[in-house]
Amino acid sequence: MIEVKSVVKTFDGFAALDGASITVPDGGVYGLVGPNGAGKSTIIRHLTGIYRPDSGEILVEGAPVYENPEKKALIAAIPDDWFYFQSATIRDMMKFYRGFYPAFDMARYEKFRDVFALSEKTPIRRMSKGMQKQAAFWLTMSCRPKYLILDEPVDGLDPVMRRQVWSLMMSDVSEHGTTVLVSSHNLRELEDVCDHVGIMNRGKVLLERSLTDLQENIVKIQAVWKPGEVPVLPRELEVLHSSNVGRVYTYIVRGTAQTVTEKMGQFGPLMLEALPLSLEEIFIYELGGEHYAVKEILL
Amino acid sequence: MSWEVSTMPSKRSFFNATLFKKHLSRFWPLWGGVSLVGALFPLYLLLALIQRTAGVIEGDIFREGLYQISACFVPAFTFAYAILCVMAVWGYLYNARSVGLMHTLPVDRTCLFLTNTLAALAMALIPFAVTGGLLCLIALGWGFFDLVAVLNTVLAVLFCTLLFIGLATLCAMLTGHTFVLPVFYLLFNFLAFLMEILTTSLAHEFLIGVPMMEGTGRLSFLSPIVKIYNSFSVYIERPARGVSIIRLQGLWVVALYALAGLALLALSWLLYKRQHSESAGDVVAFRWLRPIFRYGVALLSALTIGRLLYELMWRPLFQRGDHAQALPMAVCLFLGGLIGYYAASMLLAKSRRVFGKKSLPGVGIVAVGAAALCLLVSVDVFGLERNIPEPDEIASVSLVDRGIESGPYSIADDPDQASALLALHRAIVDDRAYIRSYVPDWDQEEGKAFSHYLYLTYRLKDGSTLRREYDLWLTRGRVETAGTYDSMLAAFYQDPVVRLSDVTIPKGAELDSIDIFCAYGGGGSIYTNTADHAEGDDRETRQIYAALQKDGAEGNIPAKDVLCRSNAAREFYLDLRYFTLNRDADSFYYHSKTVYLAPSMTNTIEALIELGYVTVEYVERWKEELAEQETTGTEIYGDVVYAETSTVPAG
Repeated sequence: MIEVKSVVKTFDGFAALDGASITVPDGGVYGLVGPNGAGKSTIIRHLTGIYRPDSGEILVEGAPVYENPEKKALIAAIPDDWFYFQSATIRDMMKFYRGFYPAFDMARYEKFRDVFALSEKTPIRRMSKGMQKQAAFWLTMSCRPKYLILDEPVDGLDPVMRRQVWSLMMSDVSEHGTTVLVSSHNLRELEDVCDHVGIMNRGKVLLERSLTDLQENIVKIQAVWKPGEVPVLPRELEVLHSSNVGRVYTYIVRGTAQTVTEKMGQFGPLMLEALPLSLEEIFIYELGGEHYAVKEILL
Repeated sequence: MSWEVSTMPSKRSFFNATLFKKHLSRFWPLWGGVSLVGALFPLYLLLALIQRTAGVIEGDIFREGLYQISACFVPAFTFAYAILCVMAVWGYLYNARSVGLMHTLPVDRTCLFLTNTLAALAMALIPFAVTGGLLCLIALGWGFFDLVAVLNTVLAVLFCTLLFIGLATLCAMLTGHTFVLPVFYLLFNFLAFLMEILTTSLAHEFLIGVPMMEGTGRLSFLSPIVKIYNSFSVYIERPARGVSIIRLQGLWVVALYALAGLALLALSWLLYKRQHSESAGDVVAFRWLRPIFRYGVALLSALTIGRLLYELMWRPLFQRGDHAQALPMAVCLFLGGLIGYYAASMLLAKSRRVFGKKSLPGVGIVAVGAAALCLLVSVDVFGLERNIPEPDEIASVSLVDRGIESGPYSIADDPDQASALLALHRAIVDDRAYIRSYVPDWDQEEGKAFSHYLYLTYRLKDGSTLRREYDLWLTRGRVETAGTYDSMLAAFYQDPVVRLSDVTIPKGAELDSIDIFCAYGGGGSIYTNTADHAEGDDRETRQIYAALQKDGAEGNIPAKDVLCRSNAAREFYLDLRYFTLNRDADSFYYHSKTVYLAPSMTNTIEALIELGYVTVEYVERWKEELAEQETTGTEIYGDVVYAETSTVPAG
């Protein structure tokens, strides 16, 4: 299990992490989402042992990860800006990784040669961004990490390769119990793979739940009221957002579909329907209260 | 497959072979190229031996060659090459992406540090191993191998490499920017030396006697490359034909620096363990170092740019007298410091927006610092101006007077003369207010004030040197007043021992030849060198010198006239050319000493007539003219002619 406890990290007075806490359970896929500058990459750099927190704890299996080779050997990461040596080929980098990661699986590396179809002898710097990303996956997954940490992992990959990569990761999760922490802006993709989600903003984790909990605790209600009888909803109904198109009113309300439907039914709507929210919608409406609403600007 | 099988807990490791090999394989063009160039020298020697153009090489020549390489080439080469090796292995610290990879790897920083340091040392030593190994093979093959010399050379190489790798590694830890690393490295090697020169130079502007560009040397140990070149050399003595004593002098100094290099590596390791990865790209890697950097750059800038401002904008336009004015100097130092302060702030902030209100406290500190620096130096808080060594501290003292072409007088073992010079020095220091304020009035004092530039050099028993330079004016009135420096200098020249030393070459020097100048009488100038005249026979040189010594012993040498009244004497003089061996006895330096003849020097004049350099008629006319000048009181001004010249023969 990965635990981040009240971590603070400041850069020249700016708090990139301001008491952030997350808990990543073993054997699942944890999606870390948040707007640009929320602190996702900073928390990932802490998890991989690059940064040392100003205060707080970063624990992997109960032990601090910073300067702990034993725990770092369990982790492999693909950062957004993956580094390779200037003239290195995939094979060169494979030899490098193999010298550090005790669990590096050469047989797996050989198998991945067919999956990724990249030349092992071409310098990585000559490859396209997407090919470099594939190379990063090839090498990282050959390390057979127990914890796989990914920052914008499929950015730059074509749709087929995206699906391929996700498929490989999910098979690792199901077959080997790999724990994946993934940070991405592609919420539609995360929704398909994540079982836990943490939403970050301004260095803090706003909420952290299983995706099921999250989706069950926020609901989209579409209602049609009698003409001239649009009710003022009570405060106990935690409405995050409301809008209307003609007589059709849409409400985003915190609560289970059943509870919210029951309460709103008391106002006598002509029609009332509860719809599930996508992760993207949850993200947008949750952050709306954090001064991060989509601004309707006409240019 | 279970994780418990594939990720067995590993033992703590202090070395990673993969990283070590990666460094060597990535940077092979660096150490390979240098090794290749180094290998050319043994290859050349081999070809020369095969072609029999190298002559017969014996053990002594091999040893001398190795030692010369150790003392002259190795320090400079390792100084330059070590920084490249360190930049290669620590380059990842200066890029956020690369530092991300390296610090994600499952090794701790101790392991990374040791592996990187060993890789840097290996890269630094491989070229020496290649070149040295080939040389040794050739030496063994041709029978001039010398094990002791090889071992000493190996030690010198190891010591220098440890020192400079240690120093460069420390610099690598202190910065997060590739381009700043070599700048730090240069500064660390020369900063103490540079600061001493700059502060002495500033003191020279305010204080009398303090040389312009010379430090005490007491801080030179903080500038390793300077200290090594001052202390580490080859000693060669050839007591008899075919017998040579060749050894490395000062290897222990380099050994001490190697220990310092190890200490620097330990310090670097501690710093690396504390260094934040996010400092990649920063000019300085540690927060606590920022004010030191900011105000250090401001100080350096004040002492260089500030001084330049003063020299350009104030001295030629507004300054009166030779000494600087404190307030304008303080303003210039402040302006120079301000430039450095903001430049450093821009580098630290990686932004040009550093001129806001937040910078004002720093500006205040720079202003106070400039004022304090000027005040401290101008009122001589550290007593530089008043610094006169105690008699029991002095090993030797020498005086050179550029004003009337006298000296050097080395009076190591004459306590009376040492006391006289100390008294003279005290009188100069006591009269410093007068010296500072005196400006000759040419309308009133033409022919009555004479310039002397005195160099006093004390070699102290603690091994240090104290030098003082005084630009003095001597006047007739003060020469006749007891207790003034003018009268003491005149009295010094009256001393028979000083008068004898005027015609005597220094101890240990070899007389080479004597130039004779006689431009008197309108009959054309005479210039002859005894070596040319006697076609290589030095008998005539010895005869003239013996005559001079005889004149000295008989008290025939007139005392120097500190008011320079006898210009006619200038037209008849001798230049004694002599040479001294340097301390390694492998090269020598030529010097000359000018001796102005006086009619009282009868033995010398007779010798010159006897040897045919001048005629009796010339001498008689010269004497008559001198007598006439004495009668009419003709005087000349004390112009500056260098009495002591040194030349280094080519090769």
